[in-house]
Amino acid sequence: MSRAAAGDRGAWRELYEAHRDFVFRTALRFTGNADAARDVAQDVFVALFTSGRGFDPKGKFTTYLWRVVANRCLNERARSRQRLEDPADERTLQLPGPAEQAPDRQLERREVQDKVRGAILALPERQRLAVVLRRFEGLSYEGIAEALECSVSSVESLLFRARENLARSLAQG
Amino acid sequence: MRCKTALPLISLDLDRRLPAVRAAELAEHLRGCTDCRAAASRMAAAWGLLEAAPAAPSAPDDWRLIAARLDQPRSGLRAWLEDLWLASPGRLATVGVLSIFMLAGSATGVWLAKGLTPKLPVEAVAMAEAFGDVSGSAWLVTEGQVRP
Repeated sequence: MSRAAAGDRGAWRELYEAHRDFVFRTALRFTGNADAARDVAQDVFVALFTSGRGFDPKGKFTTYLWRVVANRCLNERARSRQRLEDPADERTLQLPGPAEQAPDRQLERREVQDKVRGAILALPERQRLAVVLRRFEGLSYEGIAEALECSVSSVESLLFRARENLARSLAQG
Repeated sequence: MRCKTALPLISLDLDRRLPAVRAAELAEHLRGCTDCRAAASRMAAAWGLLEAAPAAPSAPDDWRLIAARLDQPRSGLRAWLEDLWLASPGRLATVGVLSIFMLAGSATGVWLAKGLTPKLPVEAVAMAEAFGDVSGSAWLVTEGQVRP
């Protein structure tokens, strides 16, 4: 990161390769849309490499990255509202099931995936981000607090309310 | 332990973040409370169901697009604010809130000053109109409130 902060383009490329999957995955789970996730990911890295010149090399890069990703995702919510209304968008988290599964099992699996995806996307933005970072990226409560620039007790509250909301959504029909 | 206390602890317990003593208290409460046991079961089931979410695909390689954007010149107040917002919206929000308080404080100060300024009684206004003393100070001197 020191070389990146000094403007070394090669260092930027290394950081991009090392972290692009995390950034894209988080953005994709948060927005539910591949195009939006790509935009978010590009914006994150442009911002990192543009403002990273001010980054303190003694600080932890991943903490800085989490914060930028979280901020960019939360900024995306207004733009993503339109995209969320298009459930037929196939370029999202739809992966084909194992070929050996019977068609009815594949259909059932797909229905469950749609339901889970819908329940996550229905969460308020900060709860959604906390769930994505905790459940899918394995961040600690402290890491999530750093990313969302809030206290650990706020993270506890976010995850508690998110779990209640998820329980309610996934129990319905 | 009351249910209102127990419910958030269920969430912490799912992530193994409860100290042993607290976890034991929660377990004791759950043994005796059907509603909280049901809530715990629903929360655990919902959290577990997230396993069904499909794995996200690998990120596309957009390095060329990013590099092209990095090569574009960025300047001005908007670029600076965007970077500041992305790096720390907390700081930007704090500056905004403090600015609002300062403005509000100034406005409040002006309002208070107007309110605390002694209002001239009708007699003073009449005297001012008669003698052209717009400040009313002549009346105040007459009433002994102000030394000439």
